[in-house]
Amino acid sequence: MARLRTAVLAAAYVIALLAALVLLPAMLALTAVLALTILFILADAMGNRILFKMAVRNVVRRPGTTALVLAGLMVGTAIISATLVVGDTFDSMIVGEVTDAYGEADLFISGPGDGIGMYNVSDVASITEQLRGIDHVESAEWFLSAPAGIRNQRSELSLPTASVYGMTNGTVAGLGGFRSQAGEAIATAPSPGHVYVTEDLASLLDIAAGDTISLSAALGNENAVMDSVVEAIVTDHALGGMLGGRNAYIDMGSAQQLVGLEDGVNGLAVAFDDAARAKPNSTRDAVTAVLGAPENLPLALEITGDRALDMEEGRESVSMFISMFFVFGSFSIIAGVVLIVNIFTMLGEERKSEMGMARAVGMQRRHLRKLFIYEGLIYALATSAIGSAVGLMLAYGLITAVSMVLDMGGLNIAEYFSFTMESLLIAYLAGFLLTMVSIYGVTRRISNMNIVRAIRNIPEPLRSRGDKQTFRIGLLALAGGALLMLAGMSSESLGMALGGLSVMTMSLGLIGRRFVGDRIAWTVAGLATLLLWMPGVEIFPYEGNIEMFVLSGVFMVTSLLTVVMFNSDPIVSAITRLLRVRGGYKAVLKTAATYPLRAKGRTAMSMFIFGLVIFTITTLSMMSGMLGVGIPKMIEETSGGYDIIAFSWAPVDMWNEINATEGFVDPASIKDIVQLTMGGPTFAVHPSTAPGMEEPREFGYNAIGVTPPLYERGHYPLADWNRTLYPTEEDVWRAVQNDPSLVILDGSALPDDLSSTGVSINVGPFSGIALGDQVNVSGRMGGNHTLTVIGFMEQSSFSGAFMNQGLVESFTGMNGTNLFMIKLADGMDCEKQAVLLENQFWAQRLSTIPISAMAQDAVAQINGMFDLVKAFLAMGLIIGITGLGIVTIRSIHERRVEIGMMRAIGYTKRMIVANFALESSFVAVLGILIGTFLGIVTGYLLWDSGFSAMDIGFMIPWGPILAVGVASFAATLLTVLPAARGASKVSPAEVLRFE
Amino acid sequence: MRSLHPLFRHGLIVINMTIIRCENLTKTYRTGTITVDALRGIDLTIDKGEMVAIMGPSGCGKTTLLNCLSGIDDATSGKIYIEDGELTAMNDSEKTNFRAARMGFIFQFYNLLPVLTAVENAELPLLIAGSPSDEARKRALSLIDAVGLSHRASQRPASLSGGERQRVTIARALANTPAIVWADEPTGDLDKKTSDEIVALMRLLNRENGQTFVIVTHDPEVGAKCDRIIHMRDGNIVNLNGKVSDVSAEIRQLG
Repeated sequence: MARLRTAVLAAAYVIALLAALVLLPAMLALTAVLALTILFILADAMGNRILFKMAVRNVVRRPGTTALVLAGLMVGTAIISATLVVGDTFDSMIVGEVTDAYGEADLFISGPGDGIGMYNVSDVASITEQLRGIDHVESAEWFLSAPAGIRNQRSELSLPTASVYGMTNGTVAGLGGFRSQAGEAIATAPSPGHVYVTEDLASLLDIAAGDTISLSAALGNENAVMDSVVEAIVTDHALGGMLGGRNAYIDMGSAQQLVGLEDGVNGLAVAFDDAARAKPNSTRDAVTAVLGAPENLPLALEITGDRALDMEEGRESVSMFISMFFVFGSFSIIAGVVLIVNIFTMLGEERKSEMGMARAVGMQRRHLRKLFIYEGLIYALATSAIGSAVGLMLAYGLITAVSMVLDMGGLNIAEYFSFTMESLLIAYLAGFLLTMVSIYGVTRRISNMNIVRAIRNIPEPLRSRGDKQTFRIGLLALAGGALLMLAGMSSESLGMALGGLSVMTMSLGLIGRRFVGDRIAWTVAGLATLLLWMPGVEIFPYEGNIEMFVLSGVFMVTSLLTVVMFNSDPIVSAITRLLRVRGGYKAVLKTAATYPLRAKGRTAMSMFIFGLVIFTITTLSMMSGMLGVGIPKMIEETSGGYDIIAFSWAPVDMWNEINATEGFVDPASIKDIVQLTMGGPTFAVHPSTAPGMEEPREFGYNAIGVTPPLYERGHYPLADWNRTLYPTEEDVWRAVQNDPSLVILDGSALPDDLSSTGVSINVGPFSGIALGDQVNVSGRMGGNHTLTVIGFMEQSSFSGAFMNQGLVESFTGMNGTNLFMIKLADGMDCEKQAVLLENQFWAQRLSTIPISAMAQDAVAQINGMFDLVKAFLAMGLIIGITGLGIVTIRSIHERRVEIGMMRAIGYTKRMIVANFALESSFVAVLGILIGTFLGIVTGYLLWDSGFSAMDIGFMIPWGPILAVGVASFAATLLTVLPAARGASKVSPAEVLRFE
Repeated sequence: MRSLHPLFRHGLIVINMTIIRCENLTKTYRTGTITVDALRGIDLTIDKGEMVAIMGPSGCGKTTLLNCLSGIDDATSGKIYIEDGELTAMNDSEKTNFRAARMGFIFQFYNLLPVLTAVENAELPLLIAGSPSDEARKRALSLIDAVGLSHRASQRPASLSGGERQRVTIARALANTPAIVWADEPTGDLDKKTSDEIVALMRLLNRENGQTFVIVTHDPEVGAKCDRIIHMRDGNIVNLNGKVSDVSAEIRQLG
């Protein structure tokens, strides 16, 4: 009757579950799954009240144990919750930033050349009306924008990279207006001679209302400067934050005067209504159709900003970041699951006798399972809630740490901290299901005990070689692995294919033990699996993503662990021989080393956690170590030996200006300046003139004029050139300097056969091009030229096509230099000098890159990011150490009689403490060694497949690696010592008497 | 009973043969307000080389007496002398070291370390005493051979029968050539045939090596094979030189 009842309940549960998943929207379906699961278990419990009562009493009878169980079980939920809340925060940041960037606009439209192209208001009147006539378009307003240098006359602070917008009252009103810092609405443009500045800009340049600021919209050769009085400081949101954030807003007439074009406009903002904002595709298509209409084609207007697409792309890039966090968090989740299994196995072992008694008097196996499941339900309900809350706090800590460590261009992500109920519910549900599934798995094992062995507390016998069940499981695993591998091969997924093959090789242990015994079978299985993941072994020619990191960690650690566990005798022998200890501690060493290696199951679980987490931390340490050395080196190469690289929008003779006028920069602080001209023409490559190209390509790229100081005083070695025609590198540079039909390209264009590892390092748009090939180049000012490639630079970070100076000037229309390589006098502060330069040349909108500071910042950011991830991973280590502590407590409890015997035959109390402390330490040390070794191997793999091609040397940062290992070991020792001391206090008479 | 050399019988040569001596030994257990006098002023001596059985009904204090005499448990009052050294005056560490050097233990449920093989279990006391590993292994193998288990030396306890496990326990107990071997119900978990074999082995080793065996047992057949029986009841010694028939009669009387 009872079984029928359970079967009916189970059927109803499954049907309701499926219905909920199919019919309900996502959130409701999740809630339904949770509610149905809880209801099902409770309904079953009502038919087994005595079991439920026992379960409740088990939970409350030992508060210490319950607290431990709750702490252990909530870890997985906390990590899932933390990851989801971090995702919510980043999502909120994306939405906020995109909203601020677009204000009320949904589309920005402008002409070719990145919006510098101007239109006359009358020329665009017709198209404007057409756009306004589209359904769901609320407004279409023109404005005039220009990059600007801005200087606060009172504070003398300046910024070369701000933007100025010219607006009419109609534009302001149509795009939602401004908001003052006090919260008042501003619905009109500033009056002539006045300006609104955003909060961001005001804060940067110490601007207050009433200050006079100078605006310089240097374009081409014009160097117009206009003074305006700050009428209001507007918020950085909506219209105030449009397209950047460091903005100044003036009336349209003043803006046109500033750029020197009467009635000129160059940007159109189109705003949709709410319905179209939610589903923008059809309205966007209608706008595109208008822009592409035959009568509008000559204007060559195109959509250059799309709110919905930017939101989507922003969310995609965030999702990659969140995936990375989840991947690293998954190690801790795996550790959490292992801890759950450990805890419930411990509970089962503790109650073995009473359960044996219960079975003896008539309780069925399913009753025991139900008992544990009811108990598990109580724990799961509580721990999922606690875990979700803890995860929330963890996420807050992480976000705060990220905002302190990472420079996100002035963005403070901590301001965007937020979470959704959906995320918390998902975390709760995931934690709940994770806990219940783990518990169910353990209860099946516990309930299958032998009654007599349970009552007498005798361990279960080891499975014999001929055990059929193990063999059958092996065959199933082999088949399952094969299916997974085939699925992976058909979908070209490296993770599935290699993962499936790894499952197959590991199943050899289960199958082979029947024929050759455990040791040989598992050693072969472990080594075969490890080999699949070693550097240089490529079984499948597919690409993998970040999930490969998790899979490689799991399989490598599992396989090496297997080999170690099944070859423990030589290890124990070696340890006892190598370590010379005095007196009775030889016996301690023997038992401390033997116990963990021969109690394979629980030792493997503990070692696995240590191994996996240390593996990940070591790999990350190696990556950050190599990047920490490699990136400054790359940056150093980019600099060509100079301290600051600077670029201005208007030409300037910097050297003369600094020496001839008294400005911010002391001439004595500058040792050398190489002055060049740079422009941004359009390049085109075609297979007919560049056979290595698969298809024609057109793109914008830097064109840099070559003058003798660049190659005589700068250090930019060439990687390859036509050695027949040009014996030396200097000959190549001189040829390019003098002949406008020749060009040298930066290192990103290097052809494949120059890459030492066979990995393609062609990351630039010139990839595929070879020496002797031809490229076409055309500039904004007109002209079309064909250039022959005669050399490639070694460095690839300073992007540019290096050519004749006059040719570059013809593209840009610039008569003078605008790119500067600056060498400072010894002892000068690079960052400080860069700021002084920007202040002195604000009118030409000079922006600077202080190279050494950039290198330091880059390293600091990389290290900071890696440290954050390592801290996230350290949670897994804490779980591992906690798990080891629990295993030690369990072990001591189970071995009380043995401890009594050991004391009887001569183990002193100190020896007992040493024994248990060493046991746990031994597990930790082996796990740490396995993880470290595999982490170094993986670090080498990463170096070989990527870093080496970027000319970054292989290194092992022993400092951080050893620090983590030693700290983990010390923490383990501290955790297990109290339990070990407790073990020494076991009274031999007591435990032996009650046998 | 052993026969003494005539010179000893006539008191012309007086050699102290006593190896275990206790005076007015008491042991009291207190649990909350409940007090249990497990030993109520025990006086006894056991000579070197004797194989003595301690027998009596359940709860009479046999195991408590064994535990106190061996130093596993602390007496409430009284004195215990082992080989003229006062055990009751030693601290825990001294007692432990003393046990390691001079005593061996055989338990009812063997209490072998399940993760060590038979020879590894046997060599454990030698390693505790600080013997070099190869010497310890050599001695352990010879002991394993002496108890007839050479062919099972590399097996773990789970693969051994009850009798085989008890033999390993005996080998372990003799590893350090102890002066005294304490056995608490050594045949309690064994069938008759195996029990007989174990007792015979203990007797043989007692005769060959001259080690003193003190055996707590319920089994009259074990008692019958010992030199004498110390009969206990309710924490007291009823008879220092009892007979199996007396013990059996008491058990029958108690029903």
